[in-house]
Amino acid sequence: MATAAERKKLFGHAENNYLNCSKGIRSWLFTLDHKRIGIMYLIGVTLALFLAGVFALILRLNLWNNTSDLLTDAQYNQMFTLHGAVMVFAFIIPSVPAALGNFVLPMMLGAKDVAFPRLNLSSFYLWVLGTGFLLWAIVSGKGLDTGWTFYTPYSIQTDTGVIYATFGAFILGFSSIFTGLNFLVTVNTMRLPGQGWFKMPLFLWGLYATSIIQVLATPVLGITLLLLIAEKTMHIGIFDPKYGGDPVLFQHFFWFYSHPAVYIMILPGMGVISELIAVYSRKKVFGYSFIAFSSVAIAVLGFLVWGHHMFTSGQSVVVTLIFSAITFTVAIPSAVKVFNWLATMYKGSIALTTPMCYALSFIFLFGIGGLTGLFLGALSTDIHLHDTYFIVAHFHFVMVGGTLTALLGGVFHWWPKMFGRMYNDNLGRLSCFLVFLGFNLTFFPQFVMGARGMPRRYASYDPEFIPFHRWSTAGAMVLGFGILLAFGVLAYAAFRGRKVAGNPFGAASLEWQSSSPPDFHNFIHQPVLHDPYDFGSMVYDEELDTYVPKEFMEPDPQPVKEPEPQTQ
Amino acid sequence: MNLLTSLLAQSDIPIVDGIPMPESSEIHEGSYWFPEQASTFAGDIDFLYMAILWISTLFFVIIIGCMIYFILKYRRREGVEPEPSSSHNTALEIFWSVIPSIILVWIFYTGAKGFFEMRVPFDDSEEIYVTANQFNWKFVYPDGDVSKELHLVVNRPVKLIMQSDDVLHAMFIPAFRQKVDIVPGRYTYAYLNPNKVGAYRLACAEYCGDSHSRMRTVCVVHKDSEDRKNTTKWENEKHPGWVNGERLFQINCAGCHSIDGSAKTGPSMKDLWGKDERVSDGSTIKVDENYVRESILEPSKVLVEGYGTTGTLSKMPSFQGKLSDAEIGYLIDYIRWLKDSSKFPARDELPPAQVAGETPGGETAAGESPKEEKVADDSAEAKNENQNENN
Amino acid sequence: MAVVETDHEAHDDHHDHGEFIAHHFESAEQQFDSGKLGIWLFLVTEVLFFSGLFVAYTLYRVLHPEIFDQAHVFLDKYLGFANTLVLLFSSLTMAVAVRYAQLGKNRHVVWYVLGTMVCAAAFLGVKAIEYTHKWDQGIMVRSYFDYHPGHHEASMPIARALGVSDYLIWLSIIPLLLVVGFAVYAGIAKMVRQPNASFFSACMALAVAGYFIGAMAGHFYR
Repeated sequence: MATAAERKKLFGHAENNYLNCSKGIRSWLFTLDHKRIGIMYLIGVTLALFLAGVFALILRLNLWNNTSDLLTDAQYNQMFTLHGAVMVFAFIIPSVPAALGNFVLPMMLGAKDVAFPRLNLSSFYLWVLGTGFLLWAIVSGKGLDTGWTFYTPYSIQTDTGVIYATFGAFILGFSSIFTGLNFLVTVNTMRLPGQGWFKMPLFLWGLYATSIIQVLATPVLGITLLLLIAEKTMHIGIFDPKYGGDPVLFQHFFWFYSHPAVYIMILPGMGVISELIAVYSRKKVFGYSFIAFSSVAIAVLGFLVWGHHMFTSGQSVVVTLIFSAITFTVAIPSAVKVFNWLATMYKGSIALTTPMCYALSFIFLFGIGGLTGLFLGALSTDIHLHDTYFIVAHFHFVMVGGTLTALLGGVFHWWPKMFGRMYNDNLGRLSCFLVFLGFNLTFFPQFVMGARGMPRRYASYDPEFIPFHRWSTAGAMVLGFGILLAFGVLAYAAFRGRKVAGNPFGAASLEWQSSSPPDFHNFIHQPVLHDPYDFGSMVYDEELDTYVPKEFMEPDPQPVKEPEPQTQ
Repeated sequence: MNLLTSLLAQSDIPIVDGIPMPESSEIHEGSYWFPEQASTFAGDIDFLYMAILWISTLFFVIIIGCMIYFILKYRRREGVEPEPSSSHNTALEIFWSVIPSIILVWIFYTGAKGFFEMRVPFDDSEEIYVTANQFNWKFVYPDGDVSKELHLVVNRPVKLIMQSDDVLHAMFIPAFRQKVDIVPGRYTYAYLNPNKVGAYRLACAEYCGDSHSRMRTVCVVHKDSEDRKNTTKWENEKHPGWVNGERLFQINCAGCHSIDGSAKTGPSMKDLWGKDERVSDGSTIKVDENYVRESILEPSKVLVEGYGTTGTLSKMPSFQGKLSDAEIGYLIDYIRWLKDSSKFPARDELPPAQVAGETPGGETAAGESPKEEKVADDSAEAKNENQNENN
Repeated sequence: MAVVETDHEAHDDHHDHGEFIAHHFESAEQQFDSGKLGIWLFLVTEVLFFSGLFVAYTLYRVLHPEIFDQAHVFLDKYLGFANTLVLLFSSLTMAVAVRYAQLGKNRHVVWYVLGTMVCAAAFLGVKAIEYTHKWDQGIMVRSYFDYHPGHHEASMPIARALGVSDYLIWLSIIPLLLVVGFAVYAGIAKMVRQPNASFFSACMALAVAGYFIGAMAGHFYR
């Protein structure tokens, strides 16, 4: 039924698209379009990443020698605190869900936008405001030196910018809540008719599980930080032992949010990887429902394990035991995901494009990150490893090796969709190699250091650890360069890259059934619903050099019919 | 700092940048992953660590091996479509869920067992009070000796009773594989049983402010008590803690609490320590450091049977803000002394260590000899400078 | 399966939709369901937000029962009871207003919303009566706690002129700003012929003004 001209209009490279349908800075700042908001988020989180990355490099340089030659102790403490706070609150938490999720989620559902576009924009501005408060702590000259965890009573005692920073984190929390709420409603009510829960791409399951956590856990962080501010300004005596409070209560409150927040960071990354592995292996995802339910299982179990951050804090032995046991149960769904990804590659047709390279390095790095979690879940080894560099290495393997790698892979994957232009694949792969190499070089020595007893957050340290720290610093430089290269490749591609049509990778989820870049309304036609991993449903169109739904290539048009609404 | 430098000047542990730094010959290399094992539970922890390491390595090698094999075998070729294969296999999926689960149960069990060993007191252990503040350690021994390094005796179990004057700290001795947070406003306990003579690092592991990374000292394990007594330079207070406690008790408590078992407004202190006290809601509470502290600071929280019913106000006022942590510590010492005075030095007898620390100049009263400290301090600093020059 | 071509020319936001359906929704039902689910989820976040406070309260109460025991003598149970009634009644008026909105009886909606606002004013007033005493006697949070059983000597000239404590002046700043803000906005809205906005902000100003009535009542009632 569809002529070549029609196909070009629907699936080709679109000169008129969401990027240029309206012009001027106001059309971006006040846009309600989820795609533009996603792009703005992407720019925002990238800036936050670079800022926090610079802090990290300064940290690493300071640790080149064991006597803290570059920074004073106080400056060092500020550096690691700001690195952590900006990375966690302003970068990792919004990175995959708010930046990639905003762009992709409605399109994967075949919807025109998220359910509440204004709320979506306000989420973004809350992010800007919250990050502004975090930065205010820096530019006001006070800095912040509590560690990103704001543990009481030190955070009450210190006269650095704790109030700015906690208020910033409070606002960022609401940004995150609104994004989660928006996504939950969108997925629930705005799926394409006939698109049942199990016809959604796995990225959506990841985002859905993430959103549940954002909505349920983040408010607790909000009230905790407000109580901290009240404690600091008015001494209400809830966390400060001087006034009869309990400092461990703060840890409970904090980790009740911040442990699920770890899954806010990793679950969407896992979703991205599920997409990438399937698309670049051209295989239906193995064990779809296992992966889908494992996301939800991780989200639910994530609420029950916060106490494992406090094994040494003097909580009761029984409580400690229970938290340890539940912690181990989280390992199962995570392992299931990794096995399923591998099984997906089995007998596939694996193309080692840039996104796939990132996905494979994700499996490698997340594998190490996850397996080292076993040392920390086991009680007796955790006592030794708690608060050492082992922990630092473990969570960087999960957060950076996991989430950052997934973010980069996802950005490379959807970049042609966002801008209609292709990046240089060889340079992209080189960036992936540098990130992988630099990352391992940075963090692997930290496992050994930690097990040998190097405590974290130390500006100066015992000389026996000098070689480890030097390897780590060298690796950090390589890692920094790799990330810089990745963004350089992408930025160049966005403006000067080769123009591509709608679906260069032959992916089958709905967002690829649009022109590249997409139209303001996402789809010019109503997208055709297939299984998101039925790659046979997309066939190659030589004229456009892209994949289009097979219905559009059929020579003999059938009478036009409404798609039968299928039962869910 | 005065004390630390003087003390280290005597005990021959060099100081670098204000931090005691045992000679590398004293710090044993240990294995690739670990510092030396110097406590009874270190071996178990290392075993579990290595077990998890090898299990993980096995799984990791399988996963990455499969990954690389698939990449090579099934890489994309022109015109070759992927072979069809099942996208679902319940038996396989259950298999790879259950096998790791069984291994996890074993890891959990072993870890929990090791943890219990680390959290259960040894019989007849020596009790050492630890006070952490920004950024110093203070260790008070049963005989009243005080030091800024932890001095233990090999194969003698220890219970550390720890409190913080300000913020969170954590006591971490890597060679013992033991770590416990020190939380202001309450006591926490750490149990150690060193089984190897040597000097080991002791560090604060919970971030506590500016000079957190300088809150390091050493833990010296001596071959016997004699050795500890004689080779350590002690910094002692004028009186044993319980004497201070007695004075505080007379001023603050004696009006309502007797020490001879007779009934007054409040319960008597006679033989109170370690007793299972019956409280008004019918349960019993063991009288320990935390209970005494709580009773002093929040008298209405738990009432002893016969002194009011639960929920009503105690007749005793709160001493929150009136007594410092150190003073509460003295009172606890006193209550313990009332129960069993044999572990404490006698009233008028200065702790013998102070005699040992006496200088040839003939000054007898420790604490009144700032000159002496100054001298030691200077010599330590000189030594420190020498070292820097050597570097 | 066939392809449905829909409106590819249409770039205006309100093609074949009713006036009240946003452009990205397919139908009124979808829009309604989304809104309903959204507001329920928002309520869930609120519950969790306050759950933190409840946990803190419970622990505080367990840790320091004597404080609660001693503090209750400063509370007035009649005023507390009155405020509970006011709260419940305002919930009722609001629920009734929603019902009339569904039935399309707009005049009724206006009256019941106004009733809710009056309840809000009453609530703030009663609270002000309760609190003026405490502020006067210096019963504040720890940092500002400065209890005198009688009347606190005021140091600010304006406070001395009014015969009230400094605390009352400080704490009245926000309500004052709100009242002035809402009143000004009501005036502007009336000028630019936005009767709904004008009515709404006038009601809000009225509600906040209840605070000052209460504060005055509390002041003289003493």
